Amino acid sequence: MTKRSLTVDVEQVWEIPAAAEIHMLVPIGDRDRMLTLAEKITELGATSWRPVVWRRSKSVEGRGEGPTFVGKIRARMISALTQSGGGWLPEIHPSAPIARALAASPAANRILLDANAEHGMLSVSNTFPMVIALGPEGGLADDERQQMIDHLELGVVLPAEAFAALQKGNTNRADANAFWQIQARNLAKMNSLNAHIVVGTDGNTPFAPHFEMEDMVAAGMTPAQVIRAATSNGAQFLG
Amino acid sequence: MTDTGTIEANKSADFIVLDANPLDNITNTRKIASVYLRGASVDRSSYK
Repeated sequence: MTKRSLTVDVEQVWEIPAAAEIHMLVPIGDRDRMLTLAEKITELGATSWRPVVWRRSKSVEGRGEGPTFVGKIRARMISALTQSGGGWLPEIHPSAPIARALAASPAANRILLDANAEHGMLSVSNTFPMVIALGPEGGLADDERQQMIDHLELGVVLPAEAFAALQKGNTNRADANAFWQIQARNLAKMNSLNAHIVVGTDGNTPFAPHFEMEDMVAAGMTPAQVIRAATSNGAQFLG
Repeated sequence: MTDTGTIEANKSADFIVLDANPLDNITNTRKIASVYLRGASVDRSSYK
């Protein structure tokens, strides 16, 4: 590099509000599993990532640890963020035993997801900030889990399958609502600038376009504008 | 809406008839009374 300065034109600026505050305590385990987890957690908009050493973690061969691996986690998170159009990279904290990890977390709604949990699906209080501790592959030992409940204020215990379901599709209402708010604001902005708006849908459920139209009115368009968007604007757009 | 078409006898048009005014409430677009495709009423009973 010989140049000392560089001028950059900023053409577009996106404002992406941060999602609800969720701190993830992830199990140290197999490298590939951890990388996949890092990707999913980034897509879900988690606030922070801290690997936790569970008892079972110590027996895993080829586990994801060390500074080089932290670099790989970060790179995977960045690509997941780019692909999902997110704006907030989870903050990566150094690994710690569970007690220390919880002590370093903010006062929060604490949840443990563990494959061996007996409680089954309990209702989770949807309050934030939230700390979600994930048990290791194969689950926690019974005494280890009991210790979490008794001494570490981990209120609700869910099987890890619940998290797997979450990974498949983001069903978190808070996230979905936050995402809708962004879309609604963008739509209102475009509408106020007289952009030609055309109703579309990729849903195959009955009335999907109608729900879409209702959301557009909720976002601030008038019913007449929405009906034009759903009819003549589409015809014009297609010529 | 001066640039849109008109509905007259012997013209071809695609349109729907609603039971309530969609300008009052957009959810009224779900209250479909009948559907016309190229000027002819569509029998919707087979779709239900």
